[in-house]
Amino acid sequence: MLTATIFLMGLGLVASIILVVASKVFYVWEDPRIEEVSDVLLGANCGGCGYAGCAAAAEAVVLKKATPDICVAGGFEIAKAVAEVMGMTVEEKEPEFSKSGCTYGFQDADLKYEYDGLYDCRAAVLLYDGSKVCEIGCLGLGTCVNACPFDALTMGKSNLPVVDNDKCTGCGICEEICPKDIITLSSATIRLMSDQKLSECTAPCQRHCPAEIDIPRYICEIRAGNYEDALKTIREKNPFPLICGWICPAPCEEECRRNLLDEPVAINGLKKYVADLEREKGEYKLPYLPPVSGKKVSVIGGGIEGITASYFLRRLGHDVTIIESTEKLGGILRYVISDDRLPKEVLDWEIEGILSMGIKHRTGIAAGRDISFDSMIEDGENLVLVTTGGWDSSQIMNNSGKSGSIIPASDLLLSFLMNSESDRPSLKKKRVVIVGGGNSALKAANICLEDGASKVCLIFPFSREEAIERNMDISLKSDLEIVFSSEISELNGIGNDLKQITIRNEDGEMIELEIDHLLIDSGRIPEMLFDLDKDSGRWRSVEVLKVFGQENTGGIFAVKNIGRPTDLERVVVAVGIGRKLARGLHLHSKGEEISPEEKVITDESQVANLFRIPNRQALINYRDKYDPSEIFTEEMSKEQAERCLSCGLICYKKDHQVCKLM
Amino acid sequence: MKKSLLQEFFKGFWEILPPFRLVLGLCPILAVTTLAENGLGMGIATTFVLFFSNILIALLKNVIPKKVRIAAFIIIIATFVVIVELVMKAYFFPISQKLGLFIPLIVVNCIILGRAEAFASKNTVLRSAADGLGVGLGFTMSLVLISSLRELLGAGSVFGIEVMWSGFEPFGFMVQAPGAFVCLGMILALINLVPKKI
Amino acid sequence: MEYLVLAVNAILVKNILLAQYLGNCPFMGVSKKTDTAAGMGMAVIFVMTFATFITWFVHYYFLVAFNIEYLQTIVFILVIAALVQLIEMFLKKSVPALYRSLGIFLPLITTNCAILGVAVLVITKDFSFLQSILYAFFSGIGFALALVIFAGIRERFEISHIPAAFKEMSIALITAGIIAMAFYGFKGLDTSLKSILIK
Repeated sequence: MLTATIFLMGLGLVASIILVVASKVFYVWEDPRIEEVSDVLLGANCGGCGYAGCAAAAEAVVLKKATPDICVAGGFEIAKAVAEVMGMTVEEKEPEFSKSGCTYGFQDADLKYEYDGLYDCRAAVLLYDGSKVCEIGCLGLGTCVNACPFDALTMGKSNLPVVDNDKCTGCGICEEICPKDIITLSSATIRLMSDQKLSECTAPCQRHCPAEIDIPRYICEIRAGNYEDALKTIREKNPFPLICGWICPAPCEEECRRNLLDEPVAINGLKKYVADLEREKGEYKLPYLPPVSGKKVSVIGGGIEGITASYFLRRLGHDVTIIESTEKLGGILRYVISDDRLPKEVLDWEIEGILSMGIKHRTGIAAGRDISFDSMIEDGENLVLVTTGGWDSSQIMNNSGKSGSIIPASDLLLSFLMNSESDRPSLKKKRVVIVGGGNSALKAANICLEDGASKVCLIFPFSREEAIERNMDISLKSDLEIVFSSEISELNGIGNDLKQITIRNEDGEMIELEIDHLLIDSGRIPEMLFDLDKDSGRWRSVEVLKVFGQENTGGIFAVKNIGRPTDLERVVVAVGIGRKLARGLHLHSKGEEISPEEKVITDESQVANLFRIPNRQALINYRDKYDPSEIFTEEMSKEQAERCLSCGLICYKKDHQVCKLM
Repeated sequence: MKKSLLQEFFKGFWEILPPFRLVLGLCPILAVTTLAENGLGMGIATTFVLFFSNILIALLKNVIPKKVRIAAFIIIIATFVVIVELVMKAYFFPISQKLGLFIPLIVVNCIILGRAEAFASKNTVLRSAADGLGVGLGFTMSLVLISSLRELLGAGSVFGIEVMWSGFEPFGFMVQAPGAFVCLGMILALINLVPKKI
Repeated sequence: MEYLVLAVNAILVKNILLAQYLGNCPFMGVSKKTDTAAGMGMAVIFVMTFATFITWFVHYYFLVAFNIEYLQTIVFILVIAALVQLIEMFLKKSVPALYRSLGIFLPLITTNCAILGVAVLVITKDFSFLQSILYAFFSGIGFALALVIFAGIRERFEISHIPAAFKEMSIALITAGIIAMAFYGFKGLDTSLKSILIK
């Protein structure tokens, strides 16, 4: 008995002494914060952050290799807790959720074959890209569901993944594992910034909307009676649902598949209906607004394009000021469109709503006249976005007809030619560059030389042969240089002076030209962004419109593929471009490269063999009946929403009343 | 919502029934369930340890320093295991012979340490006792169920009493290791069919 | 040659997991991925050999000497727990690379009944010191082998269509049964090997 007691005590003592000694001998100093941070992290070891587990992530945070908001899955709460341990602060990030992009499960989709193999999408996709005819359809085998470390995904009734937003942490594991890219992370920012892609399930109407509104979704929301959600969906791509409801020519309706049957769904009418409802209530619903953390942006021009860009920039967290030369915002819509086509109250309602998001505006101030360029761009924290519109708009707005220099030392060719000699800027001994390929450009060149310009350079968009074909007088004169097949890719200068342009010639070489004055031949001053280079004190233009198309070679005066952005003949086109400008600016302000998105749907892209509607009689009949001043009743809107076939790329609602009608 | 004492006791019989709901403590389940008698003996031994260790740990929960709690729990459990070992050797020699190695191995049965860590170290003595007894009896029940089944199919008897017809050919497979795994897997699947809360 | 028989016996015939029912909790718990299974296997080989080494000494030079063999269980578990703790600290300081790959498994090993089981088993079998060490080492290898095979199969469950009731543990147990059946085929290998060697 005694031996046993002594022995056990002895053993305990020896073991503890050994351990105590060992813990001193083998002591490894570890930053105690590593453990604290790991305690705070979720501990799911999901790997969403890119580190091997939570402990590794904690180490990275403590070693300052990563920021406290490393845990993508934990969201703001965790980030705050981590930051507290580290004695840092974090900014609130907008939550991200997974979102499934396929709406038709196996029961409803067309199949190529019956799949009966390994129960995993990654295996199923190896056999002719999966069993659905639709190349981007969900294979429904639940690989994402199994991969989700937070149990936020389930397979719904129709064999499509359903996301539980309360559990979803936005870690992005499902997105990574899905072989079809169906389930993706989605947040308002991502949706605002992204263009429609070939890899997404889009409806014909949606693809034809220049503003890229998710039309099937808002119609679905109207069908379910969620009018506010529908409005929210529209405003993710278009800040002017009511104005568009009145005057949009609705290219979406042209492509509505209902045209093949009877007449299109009143897509635009539905949009106007939800916007009208809000206006009747008199309360403008603000979207989620991130705190202002981005750059200060001065937007020159308060037309639809400028306001749209400002709206999206504010939603992306920038501090925006609109500078407008007339007394009121609205541009062409205010000064050209007649009251019976678009009542002014409608215009004011939507513009005021947008301004209530915290967008500043200064009216009655003309850039270049009342406010100098260098004061706008002064401290390197500011960006200047030019959305001033065309020669016609400057005629309407200023009523002056005199040349105005919004961008330092540059004029529209048309204004320049129309002005009398006394109104023209003095070009004596100046180096002038003229962008343009018409006879008007040649004429302007001659005027410049007559006015005493020391050197004139013509930037021609086409080749010498084409110029000869067009019977242009390109005989060489001294002091006149013509650069064929070239385009301007950058302007830069100091203060209120233009100093240099960069042109890209035929072979893609970049040539820098010293310059004092610039004449632009297109109908309008293109959308341009200016940024100040802090080191050299020079400002330079940034090609924000690279966001267009896939093969755009750049050049701020000619954007290929989509045609020139000068042709904003429809308000909805201006809205679309405004949003793309905001995207480009946002990327630039974060120091990221502005590159076009991949697989973007353009006019040329072939989408799942869908033909255009050949016979437009139904549409014409329908258009004759449409009267924007008539307000939809709730029944009418429900009826219209019910008529929607919910088209995807391949699938559509087949068991619909269509059958009865046919 | 706090559970009543009775609920704490009965949850061991279904809600967290080891080893089906709590898939822990597999070794004894697989090893000693060739005969119903062994299963019962093992179950009672485990219940004894679980009951007393839960009580002792609940009593000492405020004394034990957090850093060495696992080591302390193991020592407490080991003490009771030694008691059981000696008692069985003294009074139930044949069965302790059959269980052999697996009696000392009760120390490392995860169910016991699991209950100590998850329950007894956070709850009152009375609750811990109810929990320990409930889980222990649940465990005994499962052991008897599996061992009866294996004995029935593997030897044609239950608790040594012949129950199958005379021409019955025993499945030798059932009393061997593979049979143990498959049998447990099948029962687990059956139990999964029944919802957790009835 | 005796040791060859011992090895075959410990690894294949009387595989610690599949024939002796020891260490089944980690067998079910850490077998979802092959690499973690391999890590656990390595850690077990290491600790098992080391623990048996110590406990053998403790048993014969203390317990037997002081005639307190009845304290075997409590003493062994104490020694193993302290040992695992020590190894963890040692590795962290001296071989951080190894610590990073094995570290997370070490605490799990304290309550792994295979370690205690083997330590007790070599005593009950009256093995000599060398036999004990080798037996523990080969048992560890057997453990690692079964674990890795099992994890390899289990990885494929993720992409198989399994009825809901059988998901997770149930199918894992049945699979373990089938692997055990395969190992059952080695039965008798040790006796035949022995007879060949003796000739």
